[in-house]
Amino acid sequence: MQMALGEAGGALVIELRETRLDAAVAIRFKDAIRSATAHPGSPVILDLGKVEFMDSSGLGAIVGAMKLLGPERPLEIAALSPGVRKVFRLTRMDTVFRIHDRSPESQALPVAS
Amino acid sequence: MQHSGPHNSTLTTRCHSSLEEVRGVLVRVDTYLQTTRAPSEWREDLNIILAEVLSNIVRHGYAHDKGWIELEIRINCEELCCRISDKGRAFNPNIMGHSAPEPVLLREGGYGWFLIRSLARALRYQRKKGVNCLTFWVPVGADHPVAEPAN
Repeated sequence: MQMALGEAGGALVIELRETRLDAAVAIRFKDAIRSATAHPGSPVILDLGKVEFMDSSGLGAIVGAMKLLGPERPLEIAALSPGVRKVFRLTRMDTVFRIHDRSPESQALPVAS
Repeated sequence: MQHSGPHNSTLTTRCHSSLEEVRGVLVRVDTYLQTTRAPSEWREDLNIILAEVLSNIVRHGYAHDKGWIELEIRINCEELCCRISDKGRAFNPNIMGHSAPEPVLLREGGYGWFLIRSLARALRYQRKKGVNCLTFWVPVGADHPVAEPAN
């Protein structure tokens, strides 16, 4: 699961560097989000700009990530492809996430060892 | 994987019941559909339906046991018909997916059959001699005739 971490306007930006967020990687995705957000803190923006395809397992994993972060640490999502946006729209899950049209302009964070 | 016919194009493929192999099939099918110059919305719908059906077969039909999944897609200029068969457990699609979980409940699952039902037309399920067979079609739309897939 390839991810890049950045910072934009006080939020932690997690850019998913995968073209598919599907049943085959849903568990790995949740684990990777858990490690990327291990330190409590800022709101999180999940940048899905590189994701061309997402199924309901991918959606479920994003919902799981939101619950993992808890109500005090909102998870917002950004840069949805038309196919990914359609899954959010049909399930009406676009009503529970703040969705940004574009990827945030973020500063890369140093890679934690 | 086979492609055939000048006017009716058929693609058949099969895979083992694993999520990794299912992903491989989905990527191959999408690559094939791209050669049809079909509208991207139509490809998106088919990708979602197939992903949901195939991953359900792996996780619930075979419950991670080993088995085959077979897929046949027939395309003409107006529609795409799809047939998926497997020897996993029988199921009853009539009771599933009539509504999605309420968004505020933040459910992590339960959306798959709702998506299938929202996007597929004429969804039919049969079980014969221990084989599940699901068929459906996806309309292409008269405004967007599909070109012959390049073999």
